[in-house]
Amino acid sequence: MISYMNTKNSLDLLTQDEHDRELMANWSPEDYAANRALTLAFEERAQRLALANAVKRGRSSLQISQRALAKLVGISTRDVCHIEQGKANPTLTTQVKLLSALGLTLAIEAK
Amino acid sequence: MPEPYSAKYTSEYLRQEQDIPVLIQQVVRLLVLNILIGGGPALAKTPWLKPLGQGLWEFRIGGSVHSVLKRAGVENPSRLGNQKILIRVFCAFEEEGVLLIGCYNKLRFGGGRPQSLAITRARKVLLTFREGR
Repeated sequence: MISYMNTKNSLDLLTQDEHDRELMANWSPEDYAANRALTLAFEERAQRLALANAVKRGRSSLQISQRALAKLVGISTRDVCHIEQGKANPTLTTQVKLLSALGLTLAIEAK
Repeated sequence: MPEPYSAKYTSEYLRQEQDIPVLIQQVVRLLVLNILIGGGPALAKTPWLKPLGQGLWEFRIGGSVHSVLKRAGVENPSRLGNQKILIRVFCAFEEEGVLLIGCYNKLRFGGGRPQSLAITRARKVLLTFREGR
């Protein structure tokens, strides 16, 4: 059952939740399983991008080069570059070391 | 990171989206959420978005599922193979958020006149939306 949000000219609009409910209504359990795997892959991407942004911002505010940061952390400049591009998936230890070198901390929130 | 934009979907968008295979629905939904809505108008500088004029935009999803996910920076879960995907999402960035107007399956309906008609239809819907404020 959709509760449409009507504008004055009666164009039917759905919110994200309403849209998702309707779209997924006829999915099979296998479809849900595939969607969970895909959603996790996108969440992992979001985490990589969040780390990339934190490192870029932190490095910029400290005004240090990628090379200097790499030396502080004990990884290669190329690794720092890939992390800032959101392409790398560093270990938890490396993430903590990176953020610590930038005066930041890693917070893990279970939702 | 900037706050993601909110989204409003037209019922026509939903109908068109429901008409595509479920796997493609899932990929399109997550790309719209994470790339289009997450990126907002800044995406205009990337190949993901093409301007269609008068505030109407085309969010372009094309290639194999694998290549599309790779372009989005997402590791492909192993179940997803090389199924082709060619979707054009017609959208607009309005004060209320991203307005999702149409989900055109170019693989099924082709380009040319059918796509032009879909764009014309999307333009009318956007106009109706704006007039209704």
